[in-house]
Amino acid sequence: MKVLLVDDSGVMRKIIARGLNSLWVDEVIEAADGVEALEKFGDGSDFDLVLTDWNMPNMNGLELIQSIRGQGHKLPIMMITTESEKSQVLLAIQAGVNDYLVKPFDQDMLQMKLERVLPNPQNA
Amino acid sequence: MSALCDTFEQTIADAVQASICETFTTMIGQDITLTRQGPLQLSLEDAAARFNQPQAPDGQMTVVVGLSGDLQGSVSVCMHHEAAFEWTKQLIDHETDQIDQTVVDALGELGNMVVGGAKGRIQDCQLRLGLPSVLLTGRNHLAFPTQYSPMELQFEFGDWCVDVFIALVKSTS
Repeated sequence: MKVLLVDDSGVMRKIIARGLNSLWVDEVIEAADGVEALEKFGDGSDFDLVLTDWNMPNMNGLELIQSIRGQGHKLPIMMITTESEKSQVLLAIQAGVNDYLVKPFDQDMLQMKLERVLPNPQNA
Repeated sequence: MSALCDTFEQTIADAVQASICETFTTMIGQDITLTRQGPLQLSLEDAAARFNQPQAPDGQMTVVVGLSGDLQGSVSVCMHHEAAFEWTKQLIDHETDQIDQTVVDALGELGNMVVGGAKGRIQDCQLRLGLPSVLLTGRNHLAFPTQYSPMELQFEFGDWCVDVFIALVKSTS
C-alpha cells in the first residue's frame, strides 16, 4: 500500500506518516503542496490513496483533488484539515473527496478513517 | 468595527478553551487545565503601563494566528520554551534543549489546530485563518492596538502556564 501525503507542515506530515506506517501502509511519499503532489503523483498508478491538507501554498488541497479527479483517477482521496464547517466539508465532497478527518486527531481516528478508504488487506 | 459584546466574547472564549483542551488531549494525550474560570478582560491602560518599562527576556514563545472574515484580529498562545519543548517531544518525539526549527514548526501547528478548532466551533461566522507566526517572546511583550478589547485565558500544562490572548473585533462591512 502506497500513500501520497500532502501537507505544508513538516510536523503534521511526520505525525501522519508515523501513524500510517504503524498500520498497513508500506510506503508514504510526502509533498508540501499541491504542485509538488501532482509532480510526485505522475500518472497515479503507483498510489493507493491520497491524503491531503486543505490550506497550502501554491496549490491547495481542494484544487489538488479537482485536478486528480479531472484526470479521471478513481483512487480514494482523504482530506485531513482543521476546516470542519459543514460548508467546507460539502465543498470537499463535491470536489471528489472520499473521506474527511478533522485535526486534531489521534491514532484511533486515523485508523478508523483509513479502514474506510483503504481497508487492511489482511482483513480481506 | 465594533467591540465584541459580552455574550459573543464568552462564545469565542469558550470555543478557544474547548479547542485547546481537545488539541492537547487528542494530539499528545495530556490534559491542559483552565486555571481561572472565565476569560479575563484586559485593560489597554494596564498594558500601556508596560510600554516604558525595560522588558527582560522572558524565556517564552508565542504562536500568533490571524483571523479574517466576519471577525478580524488574532489569537496568541504563549508558553515558556520548556513547555514548547515538552509539547514538541510528545507530539513528534523530538527532544531538544534548544529552540530549533522543529520546535517552531510544532508550535505553529499547535496554533493552527487551536484556532482552526475554535473557528469550527464559532457558528454563523465566515472566518479564514492566516499562517501562524512564532515569536520568541511571551505575554509581557504583547501589546494590542486600541480597537481591540483583548481577553486572556490561563491554563496549566504540566508545571507550566499557557496564556491565550484573544484579540478579535467584528467586521462591520
